[in-house]
Amino acid sequence: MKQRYLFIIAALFAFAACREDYPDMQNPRWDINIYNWDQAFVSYWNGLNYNYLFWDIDPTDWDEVYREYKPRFEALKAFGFDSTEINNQAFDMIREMSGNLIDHHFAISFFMPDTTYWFYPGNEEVSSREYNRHPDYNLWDDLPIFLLIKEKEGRFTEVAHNFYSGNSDMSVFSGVLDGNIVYLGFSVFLFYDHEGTGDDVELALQNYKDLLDNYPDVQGVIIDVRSNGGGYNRDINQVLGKLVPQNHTAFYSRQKNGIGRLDYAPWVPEEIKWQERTRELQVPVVVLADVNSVSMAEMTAMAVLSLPNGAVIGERTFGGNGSLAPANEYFDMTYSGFFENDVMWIYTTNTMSRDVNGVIHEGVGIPPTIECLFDPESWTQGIDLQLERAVSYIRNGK
Amino acid sequence: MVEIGKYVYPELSGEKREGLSDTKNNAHFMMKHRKRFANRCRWGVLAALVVLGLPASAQWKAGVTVGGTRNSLETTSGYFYDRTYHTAGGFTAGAVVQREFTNWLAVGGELVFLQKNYDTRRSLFYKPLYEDVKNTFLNVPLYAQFSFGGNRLRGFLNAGAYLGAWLKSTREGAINYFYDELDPTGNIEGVDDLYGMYDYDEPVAFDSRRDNRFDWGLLAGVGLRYQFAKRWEALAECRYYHGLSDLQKDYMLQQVARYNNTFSFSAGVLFRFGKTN
Repeated sequence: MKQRYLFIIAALFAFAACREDYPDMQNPRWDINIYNWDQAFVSYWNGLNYNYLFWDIDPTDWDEVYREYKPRFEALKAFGFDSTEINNQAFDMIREMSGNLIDHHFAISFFMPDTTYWFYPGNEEVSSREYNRHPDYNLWDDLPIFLLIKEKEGRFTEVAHNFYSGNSDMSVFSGVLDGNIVYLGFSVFLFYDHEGTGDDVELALQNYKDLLDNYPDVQGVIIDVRSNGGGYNRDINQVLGKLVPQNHTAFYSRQKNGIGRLDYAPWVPEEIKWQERTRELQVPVVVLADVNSVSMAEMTAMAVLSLPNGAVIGERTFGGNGSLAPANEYFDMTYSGFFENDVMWIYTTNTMSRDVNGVIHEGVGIPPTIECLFDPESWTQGIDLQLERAVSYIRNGK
Repeated sequence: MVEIGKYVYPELSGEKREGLSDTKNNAHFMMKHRKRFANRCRWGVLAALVVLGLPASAQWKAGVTVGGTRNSLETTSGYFYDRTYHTAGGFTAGAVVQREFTNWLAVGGELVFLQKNYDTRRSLFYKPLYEDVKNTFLNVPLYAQFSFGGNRLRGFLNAGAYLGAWLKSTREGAINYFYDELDPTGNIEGVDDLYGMYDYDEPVAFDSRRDNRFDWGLLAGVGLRYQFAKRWEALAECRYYHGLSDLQKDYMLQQVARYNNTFSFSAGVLFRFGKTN
């Protein structure tokens, strides 16, 4: 009888121990023992397994990726990183397994003794879009000239500008188009770096704000973020702060808050902060966007679409809607996103976004209110059809 | 032929006494041959004891309990070092049914609402980031109760298992905005000096891909009960629920499991049905 009780007690303890063991977890940011492609694969796969933000919506079956590719990388274990042929073969596999990741900021680089590999799958997807008539062409290569011509023709007045150059990190133009439309166009969101400098970038931004406050007859506002590569989140207040009647929820962002792929913090309502103004403008606000408008450019489009008088004209945007802090030092902030070590550099966002209607545009882009595609033929003749369409919309309301 | 329950003893049929009903004949038979009966039917009677609770001396008791819980989440933070999980308090209430076989053995079943809450904390610079999670479960514990002591005041030990369902989840906490960057002028002591903070208190929608809403585990409890009236007992119990179901489905490779360890502290009353001594 005593033995029976002992057996029952032992069985209960065995039951009590029926909990899963924890997996070995190596922080990829401090992963310094990577000497072959098998180890590189494990570091990369695990890094995304725990740090990537988009598993909620990503079409990639990351478990299946492991099952399929782990044996194939294991087979390359003995070669180290010394063979260019093996390195090429291995990075091709990295490309294959990563090609459909939906994060359109996502880019990877692998550092090998003989070369550095680079892959930006979102850019490849965007380049292949049927409506993309200007892959790899940045409008800001020529847009400043177009605007200067308009200034010379008298269509563009009250102009303040700055050109991107070796000494300056952004192009920006502000002024009045066709007598009563306030225009602000810029290549990146780096206004914050210029605050208090008194330089041409700050003056151009200040000119835009002054026009919103004081120009006598404003019929509309155009914010031109075509081919804009994004930048500081906080710049959105500089661009839109005078156009919202009060602090205004423009979209939502979300971080991870656990180790699991689907562990998320709440959607946080991100606000445009109201800025001091001398008047309330009740006019159409148009964002000009194109397929190369990415990140903060898209968030600006998303924000303007949340305004009752807002519209987006141009093309469906790039589809990279998150925020990114590209350094290992920022890991503690969100416990997700970007990581790098001696072998790899993985550029992926710390937050994801959705619009005020709950739609996530990651990997797809913000659809325009009115589509107006880039026309290379007109462009080479100096005609900016998209800008003209925005002017027409403000004039006619359609 | 004498038939007792489903057992038929044709070899004893000659003992049937004339003039007695079948029931009385059965009782007569049982009394006369109880040892033999007991030997032959031992396992059947034991099974009946456990499954059907047939003994004539068994008594039913029913009641309610209320109390509090202290739950901790058993998991690991991995290399997300300063995100730690802490014990949190909650509420419990339940209905109890017990079948007492002897003065020292009973079996019990309950329907219990339990909160198995936990808190998530960061430290130092990220201390302003936190989350308190409240998870409500409906559990059905089944247990054996072994009691000891005097007639009125008795101690007891419970041991058993439970099944249940995860009914509801809410969370309350604070997280930083990403687009509300501040310009601190003084010392930067925490993340809230750099970013505006978003306070939230919201229900959590279950994600059918991730959340395992089926709950089960083992339990053990210790307590006291006091018979303060002919049919009434008061009880107090400290019980431990050892969760064996991961709060997550098996939805990702290299998954980090999460289990609940729950202590409940409850008090209640039981009403005794049937004859009393």
